[in-house]
Amino acid sequence: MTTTPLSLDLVQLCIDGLMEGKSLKALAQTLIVTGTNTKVQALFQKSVFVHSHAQKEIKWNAFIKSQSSLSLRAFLRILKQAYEGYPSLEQLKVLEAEIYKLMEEEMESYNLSLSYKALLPTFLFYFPALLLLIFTPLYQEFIQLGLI
Amino acid sequence: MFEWMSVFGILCFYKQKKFISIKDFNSLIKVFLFIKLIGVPLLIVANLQAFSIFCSLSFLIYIFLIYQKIYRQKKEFQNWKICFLQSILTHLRLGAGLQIALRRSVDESPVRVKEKLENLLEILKNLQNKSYIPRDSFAKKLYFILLNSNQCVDQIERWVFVLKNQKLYKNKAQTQLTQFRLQQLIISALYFLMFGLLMKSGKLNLKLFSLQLSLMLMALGYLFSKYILSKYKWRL
Repeated sequence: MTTTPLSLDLVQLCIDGLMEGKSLKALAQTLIVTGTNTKVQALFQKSVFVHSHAQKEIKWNAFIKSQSSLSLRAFLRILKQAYEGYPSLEQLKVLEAEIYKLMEEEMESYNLSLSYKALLPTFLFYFPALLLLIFTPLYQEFIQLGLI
Repeated sequence: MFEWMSVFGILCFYKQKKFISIKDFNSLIKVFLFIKLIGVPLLIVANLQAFSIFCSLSFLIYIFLIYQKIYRQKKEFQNWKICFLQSILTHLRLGAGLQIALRRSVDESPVRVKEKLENLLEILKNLQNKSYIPRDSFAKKLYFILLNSNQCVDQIERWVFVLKNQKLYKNKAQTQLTQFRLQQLIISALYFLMFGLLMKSGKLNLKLFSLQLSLMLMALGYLFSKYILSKYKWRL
């Protein structure tokens, strides 16, 4: 939970690139060659490959549908438009704000679930370990006294 | 020696298979070395009671350190990078030149980061000399933003926005995780304290099967809680 989601990384990279005056296609080419994040590189590589395909509409749809994350799908739709030459900076900024909202919601639900999940190791392992530790000498005492 | 080698081997295997991160690997190695260097001689020279008291004390110190970390995180929310960038922005908006804005922002920064920023300023003084690009990631990013002076205000503004959000979400997530770890640590400290007290009263010895089982359950509990924490991924 400490690192940011992939969709946010991608959106922020694209916004930074556009603000530096690069096109998203040029940014994708640079990232494929010099990028440090392999997931980002792979996604851009695939997007460039899909866009250069003869049946790019079908390929783009399949590529977008193959993503499980909704924000990643939204990002890919914007990326497709940007590759076709449409302006995308404002759309990316809106998407970034939406991702932040989603992060907030997901973090809240995670925090709620974590308090229940934390009980699992406590009840399954720590609690029996403590019980064993307390009852062993008690059990020995009972044996010595001949009560068991 | 063989046991320690096998522990090290298992850890290396987990690291190789990416079940644990490099950061976790390093901290686990540190813990094992710490126990080996201080705990084991204590166990041999003194006795089991001393060892258990040592364990519970270490856990209590660790809990104290974690509390301090939470406190520090809250205190340092507005960290120096954000303050420094905001200061540059203010001076640029007031009409100061780039070098003057940088100089004033360094002067206004807290003493503990002043030396670092002075070095940064030396590098940024000669922006046209493209032969030297700073190695530090913060300095490097600032260098490239300032090179393009037409858009630098917009870009710094955006950088501040991103840094603030990063810090906010990192803090929220880490506070929750730290509380989770804290809960586990308090239980462990209580366990070892009880362990030590029972040992001292002569009610327990390590040959007992139930005691070995109890220690094993504690270790399994620790591993399981680590597993719960490592499983989480963003679904966005």
